[in-house]
Amino acid sequence: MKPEFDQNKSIYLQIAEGIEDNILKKVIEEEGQVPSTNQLAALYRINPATAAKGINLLVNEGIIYKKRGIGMFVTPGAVEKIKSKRKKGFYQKFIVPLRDEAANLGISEDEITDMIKKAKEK
Amino acid sequence: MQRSSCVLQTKEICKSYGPITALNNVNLCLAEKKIYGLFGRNGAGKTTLLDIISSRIFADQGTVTCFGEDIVKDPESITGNCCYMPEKHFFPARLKVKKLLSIGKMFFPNYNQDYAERLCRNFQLNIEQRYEHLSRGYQSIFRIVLGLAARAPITIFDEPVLGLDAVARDKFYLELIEEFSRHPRLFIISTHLIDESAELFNEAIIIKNGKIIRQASVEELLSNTFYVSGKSAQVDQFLKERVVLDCQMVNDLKIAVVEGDLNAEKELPGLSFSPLTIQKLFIHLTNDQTEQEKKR
Repeated sequence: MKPEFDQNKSIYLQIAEGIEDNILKKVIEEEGQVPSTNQLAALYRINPATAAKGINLLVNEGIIYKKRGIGMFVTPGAVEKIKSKRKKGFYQKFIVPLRDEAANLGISEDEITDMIKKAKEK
Repeated sequence: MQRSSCVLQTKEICKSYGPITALNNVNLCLAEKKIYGLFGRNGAGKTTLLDIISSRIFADQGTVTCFGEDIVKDPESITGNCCYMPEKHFFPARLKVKKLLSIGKMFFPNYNQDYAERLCRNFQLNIEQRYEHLSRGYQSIFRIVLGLAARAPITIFDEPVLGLDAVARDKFYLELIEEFSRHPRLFIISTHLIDESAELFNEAIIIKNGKIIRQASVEELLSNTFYVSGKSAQVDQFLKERVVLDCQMVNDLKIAVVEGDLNAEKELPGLSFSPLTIQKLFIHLTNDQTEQEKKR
């Protein structure tokens, strides 16, 4: 979870993505507890309904689940689920802006490939 | 909107002060357990509206109902359920904070003394001080303490963060959210600090020249408007048959604010699309200057 939100994106989506990031980076393990709606609302000074909307998105996708009266937990297999979902969005989120900015700057495909190789070596 | 879900409802409210129309046909339906933000420019009618729904003043026309009862015929329906903290103070100024809080207790049946004391400590409000000796900011803090601790089913704050520094404002936002989570109830909060408070609200109500021009969630308001920018000829082409809220030109570059769903727009070469912040949207909706721009 980020300390602050991005201006250009719906808050509830950023809530969901922030929790996903934590699961991917193993900050929250599978079967680990996820912050509650009220905790998230207080942390970010947002309406609890907005926090709930983000949480429900992840519940509907099977990434987290509700234990009645206890709280929200990460579903086993959530990491794989997030990875496969994000791979689908990788093209739109990273490749398209990369292509656009490369076109603005006149960077060729070969140069981009070289840069990727170089970044991998580091 | 379902009528039955309205805890507080206004029907065709009008109010004039001499030749000046303060409110013009205001219809509102406010639900239980929601936080509403009331946004409007100076003189738009925010305080008049809050004064009327809390029965401090009467409307010239129209009705206000609270839990289904007309507040003029049955004043108890509002006075017994509502805690209104107006911007202008109405407290006996010579009394100490401590004394004022103990008087507050008599007016509000759900008032919680422990919570009030905790809030005073949290905001470092000196309860031994006379109200008249409090600074502008601390007078606001006093209203916040009383308004939250009263735990009335309907809690109304008129500009609660007026004169507060950034730390105190942030404390208020946190207290509001925590209190709302613990004891959900209807809050109405007017403020000029739109960007920093907008996410607190279930819905924003925008009032302009005495009329309600928008009532929706921030998410919904923002999803209906976006910026388009590019070369003016291309932007003009795009703007055909669209509702344009504002236009700015820098040489041949044109930036326009357009009504529509940003996500539904396809990419067009030479044009850039981006979302607005809620404060910018408010400015474009309520600035009369931009209305004239639109007509040109």
